[in-house]
Amino acid sequence: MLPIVLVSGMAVATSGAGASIKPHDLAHPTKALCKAGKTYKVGYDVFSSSQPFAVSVSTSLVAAAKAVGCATVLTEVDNMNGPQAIANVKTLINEKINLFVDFQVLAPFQPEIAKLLKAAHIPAVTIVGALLPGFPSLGLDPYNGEFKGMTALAAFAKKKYPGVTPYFVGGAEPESGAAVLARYLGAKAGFKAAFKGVPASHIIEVDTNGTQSTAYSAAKQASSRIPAGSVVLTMAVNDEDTAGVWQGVTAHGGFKAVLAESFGGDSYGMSQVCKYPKSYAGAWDLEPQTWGPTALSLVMEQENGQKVPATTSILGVQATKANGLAGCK
Amino acid sequence: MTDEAFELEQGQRSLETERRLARRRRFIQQLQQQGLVLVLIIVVCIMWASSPYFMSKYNLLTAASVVSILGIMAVTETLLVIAAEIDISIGGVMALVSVVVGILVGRGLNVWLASAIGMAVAALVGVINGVITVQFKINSLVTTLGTFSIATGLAYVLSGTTTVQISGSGFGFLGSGYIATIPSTVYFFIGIWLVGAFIARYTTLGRHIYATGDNIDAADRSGIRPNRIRIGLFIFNSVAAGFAGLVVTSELSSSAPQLGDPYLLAVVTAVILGGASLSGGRGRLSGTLLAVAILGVVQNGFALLEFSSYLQNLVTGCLLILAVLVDQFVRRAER
Repeated sequence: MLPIVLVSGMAVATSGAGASIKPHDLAHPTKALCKAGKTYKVGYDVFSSSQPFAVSVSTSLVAAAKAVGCATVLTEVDNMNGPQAIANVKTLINEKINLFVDFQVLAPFQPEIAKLLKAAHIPAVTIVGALLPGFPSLGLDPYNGEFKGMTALAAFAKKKYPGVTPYFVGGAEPESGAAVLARYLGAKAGFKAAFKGVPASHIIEVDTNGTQSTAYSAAKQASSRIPAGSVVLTMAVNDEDTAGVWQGVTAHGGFKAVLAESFGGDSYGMSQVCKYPKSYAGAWDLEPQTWGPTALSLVMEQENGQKVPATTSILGVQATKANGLAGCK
Repeated sequence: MTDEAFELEQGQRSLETERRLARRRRFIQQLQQQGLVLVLIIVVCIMWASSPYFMSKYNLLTAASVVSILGIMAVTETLLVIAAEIDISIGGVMALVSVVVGILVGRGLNVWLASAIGMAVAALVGVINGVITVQFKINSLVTTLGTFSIATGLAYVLSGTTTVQISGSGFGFLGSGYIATIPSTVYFFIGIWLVGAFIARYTTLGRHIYATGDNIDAADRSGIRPNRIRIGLFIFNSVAAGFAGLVVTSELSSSAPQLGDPYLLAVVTAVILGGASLSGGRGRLSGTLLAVAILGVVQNGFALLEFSSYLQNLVTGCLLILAVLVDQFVRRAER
């Protein structure tokens, strides 16, 4: 079994043998990672220079390297172009990098990148997206993240409407593969756990097809199955889809309340939380600002000869208007 | 027999042939229309039997509000296809208009002024589509594939791929308003459909559109200005797509570059299924209306039955292929 580290806000859990690092330090690399006189040149390929999550990861990686002092980051952007990503890695190797952080998300191109890195004996970590064969990975814990998000939403609903058994309209995106589907399954399991014995007819799955507008249309139409006056909980696989499902059910009309839990914690999700605090329990924040420092820790520790876990999973934290993590003004 | 008598007889035969062809064409069109009504009845019955929630007034209104957005674009696309052109840039135009409005509102502009600018951008895309296709004699499929890519790319670049909230006085009414319990989107669709159907059936412009699609050279020789008509239709179609983009932006209270993705296949399917011929010169907006209703029932039924979007795409694709095959059959039968 692969060793796994879970990073959840400041709280950390580890499992599996061989994780010799101190996991709670992962998101906060310090100068202690620098070996005397050694400089670390970190190559970094990222799929986008503008997508908010990627920007947050990139910014935090560069900031962490600066804070550590002995590391510099050379960034290349592939714009979701696999051959370009491979060319970027070759360029970085020519620039004599000694570490690599991979945030390329197209799975078919990862084996070639892994081959290049292995041939050059460069330690690396991949931020998934897509696994990099033979190298450790860092990513979201999709099932447990959504489970916890739904748990927070259920608590919010129980507080507002005690004794009510609500309906759940969940936005799934099965076409995006198992990892994304696991998010929906986590939310569904969280709903069932929070409302024991809830009838199957209270759980309605809509296929968002990865767009907010499809999520809206599908949820609006599927809401005809829900009796008027019901309390409806909504959640989906990311912030935009969640908003689409919530808006669709709300637009259908006739319900006592339509509540939501955003998932991802990007700027749009947070703005929804801030604008609709009576309907949004919060956003399950994947804290992209911790991903860069964690990736840096993982590659530097490899370079220092330390053993790192094969999988490091970010669990996330609940961000609300009240706890300040949603950053509402 | 004298030459004059021979020519007269030939002329009468030719006239008779023309009349026979026209009768056959009318018969086939009626058959197509009745076929669509039959298909609509069948899908309604299937969905009614499959889901107890289907046949409620509330659900049918919900389905109508959802399908009206593709209906708005299907009307103008039908007129364009009758003129023997096609525009597949509509999803890109929707996204671009949404993003432009989002950016302008974010910078403090009034949402209605921003919407007007967004519509101007849509019209500009229509001008580009029309001028490139008509003046440079480029196939409209290729031209609009290019502008789709440009508009979508621009939407992503300008927005930085992010979704942003939009609100403003009364803007929500566009996508989520009601008048006498009927969703606003239904009024928009019916309004645009009535205008389109009136133009197509009762005006000189409508006859010119059919003539342009039937035989562009003959239309040109008979004094119709087919190039002007085609450019105008491209603009009309882009403006309709831009308006649909505004309506979806209003529904979601958000602008997003992915917003137009789901619509192209459904719009083209509605147009071809409705009986408009890809080779031009033939098509009725009553057929488009029926096709939109069929797609609406299918989409709604699938959502109620929790079918995946894969299956929905599969069914829509099958309907499109079937419609193209019927079109081919009809053209042969008319000869």
